[in-house]
Amino acid sequence: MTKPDVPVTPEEFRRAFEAIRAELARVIVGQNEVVERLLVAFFAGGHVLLEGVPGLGKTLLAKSFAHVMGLSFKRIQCTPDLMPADILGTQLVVDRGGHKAFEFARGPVFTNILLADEINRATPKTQSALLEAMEEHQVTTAGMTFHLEEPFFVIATQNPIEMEGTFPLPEAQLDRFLFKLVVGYPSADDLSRIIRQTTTADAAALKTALPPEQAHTWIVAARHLVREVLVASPIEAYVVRLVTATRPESDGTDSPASRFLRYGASPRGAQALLMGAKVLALIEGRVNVSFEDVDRVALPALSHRVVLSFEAEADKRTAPEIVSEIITPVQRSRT
Amino acid sequence: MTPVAIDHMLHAFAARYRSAVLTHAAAVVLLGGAISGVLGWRLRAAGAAPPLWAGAPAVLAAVLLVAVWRWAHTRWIARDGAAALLDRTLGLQQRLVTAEEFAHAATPPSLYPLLIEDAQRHVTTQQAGFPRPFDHLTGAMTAVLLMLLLWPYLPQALPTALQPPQTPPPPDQQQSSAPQPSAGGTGQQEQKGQQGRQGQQRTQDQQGKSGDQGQDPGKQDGRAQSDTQQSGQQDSQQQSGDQQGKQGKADQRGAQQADGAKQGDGAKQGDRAQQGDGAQQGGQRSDAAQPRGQQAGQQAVPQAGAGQMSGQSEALKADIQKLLKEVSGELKDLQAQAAPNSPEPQAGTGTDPNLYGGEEPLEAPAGGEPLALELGSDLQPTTKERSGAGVGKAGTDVARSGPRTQAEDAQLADQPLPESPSTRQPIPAEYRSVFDQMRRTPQPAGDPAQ
Repeated sequence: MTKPDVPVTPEEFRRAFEAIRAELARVIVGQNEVVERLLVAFFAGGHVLLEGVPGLGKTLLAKSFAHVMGLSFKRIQCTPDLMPADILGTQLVVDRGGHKAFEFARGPVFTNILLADEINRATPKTQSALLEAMEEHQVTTAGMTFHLEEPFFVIATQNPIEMEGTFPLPEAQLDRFLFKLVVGYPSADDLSRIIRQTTTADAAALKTALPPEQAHTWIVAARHLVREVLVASPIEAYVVRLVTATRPESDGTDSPASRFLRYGASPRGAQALLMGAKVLALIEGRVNVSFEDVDRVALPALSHRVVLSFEAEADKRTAPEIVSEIITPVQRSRT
Repeated sequence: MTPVAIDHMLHAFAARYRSAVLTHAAAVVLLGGAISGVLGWRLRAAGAAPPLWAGAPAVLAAVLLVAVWRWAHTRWIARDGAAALLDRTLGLQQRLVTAEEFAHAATPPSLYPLLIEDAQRHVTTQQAGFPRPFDHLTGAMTAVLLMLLLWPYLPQALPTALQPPQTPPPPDQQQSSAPQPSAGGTGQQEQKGQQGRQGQQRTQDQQGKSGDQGQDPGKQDGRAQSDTQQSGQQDSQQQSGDQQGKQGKADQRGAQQADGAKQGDGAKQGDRAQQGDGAQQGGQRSDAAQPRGQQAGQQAVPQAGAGQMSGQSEALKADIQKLLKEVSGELKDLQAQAAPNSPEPQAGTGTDPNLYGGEEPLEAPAGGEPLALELGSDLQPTTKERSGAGVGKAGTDVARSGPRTQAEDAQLADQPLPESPSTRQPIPAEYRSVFDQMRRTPQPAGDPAQ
């Protein structure tokens, strides 16, 4: 990553982060943890998969986030007949001075923040169209490669119910998401605030937390600052131990990993752990990563990267439960 | 800050931390040794056996040494892992580990100065994490040591009931004051104090039963204010002692009277003897206070007798036992006299053995001879399979009377039996003509659908 022209200090980053979080909290009521992790994933350079039943504000969160950040925003409503060209773009024949020529019409993926709503309703072919865009921030079509504008951030949502006619995301696609965040039901108090806030004439108007003309530059600089956060070798070793503990062959035949997991977390899981921990360290006012930072992002970074075994599914165990059971001994044994 | 500086800071910090650990451990060891020594000395002076006065302090010292060693071992910081241990101990969230690691980098990261500044700030603010030489533990140990050192002077402050009886007061003084056999104190003032305390307890009991008496300020004189520390009430206590002397006879009379009304009178006087001025209101108590007054009158009897006896405690105890026996005999007589007049207990409120009537003998069966019942059990071993169920072979008696399987005579027929409808639904009147016409019309032969 090239060094940005406008450096961002850790204190500036922390203040901007708090401002963005406070602005989002005006609209998104009672989902503080989800909002914080969404921001962490954004500044860590990853993407987020939101899972929750309908009506919990997933789409509103994505739209509000784009508005607060002052970035361009596009939305794809995924359906089974959605084609890859509908996302990436297509070649059109245009008339240029009397002769015909092909011209690439950019799809909705060319944006800063892309909301892929109900992504599990799109076919695997269409889902895979996002792979290159999410990982390499570029699109290749008809032999031509187009780079996406930075920052590029995908927020995908999926619904855990109504699974008929859906296509669960393949493991390769899931691995592209830095965090998988589960959006839960709001509490009674939060629900009261939500209905009071959304059913009156004076709805909350969002403001951009960053100057629009400097938003892109500032965000790129902030992402560069995140990568400069210092990580000591014990922290790196701890991250490695956490990720390797999720492998079934790592620790005996009676370990939870060998019983309930078919595949463990990939190296992308370790990257996600460390990048998320770096953002958390900056939020806490530190320029070094601590064990606690890694612990806080362990579950959202690892839960969707493991593949459950038949025994786990027969016992109706969930991935967060198993991952938590696996990493707890590692957390206790750290120095 | 240079790498040398961070190294120097870490080493200085570790050295300071180690010295704090050592200081605290030394203080604990010194105090523990002193406690052990003084404990052994006291035990030896008290005449304890040598294994006790030598072994107990040795065990205490050994346990203390092991505990201090383990504590210091967990807190000790080696030079190499100083940063990690300091981070963990002081809650620095790996600031020092990171700072030490990147201090030796060829090109320090851009955020390294900020890290050093942050680490310095937190190290400064986290100084409270150092073990202090004197804390709650050492304070408690110092208190224990002082108690052991001052042990010979402590029994004076202990309750007088725990002390052995000392020189008894002269008989005339015992008569003038309230003669309490259980009182071990020698001074008249101390006896007055005990009387005052007893008067306080009884008056408090009395107040618990009749709260209106607590409004009378005259009763306050006979309560806790009659303690020896309050010299202002000594006059009332003196009056109480005088009244006790005067009413000693009345107490005896109250204890000997068998009449219930006279018992109450004696009880009033007994209370008066114990409570001084405040007890004068005790005479106005209700009947619920009579047992206590009776008890007071009973206690006054040995008190009067003890006043004329010598001060030797053995004789006093024998006299008390004798009088208690007499009183218990009188109590039994009183209970026997009061029993016929006492009302029958209500159901559920007493323990009358005849509450539900006397025992009735079992009646003989109406048929004359009782029914002979014989219970038999199957004693056969259960190792073989039985014919009916289970394993083993049934005993002869049980097998004979047990259910048997019988062959069933019914056989399934090869062809289904002709069935005719047993019931027929009634045909509504408007359709009856249609069905009649269908019944009259001949059906074509060989139509399987019909």
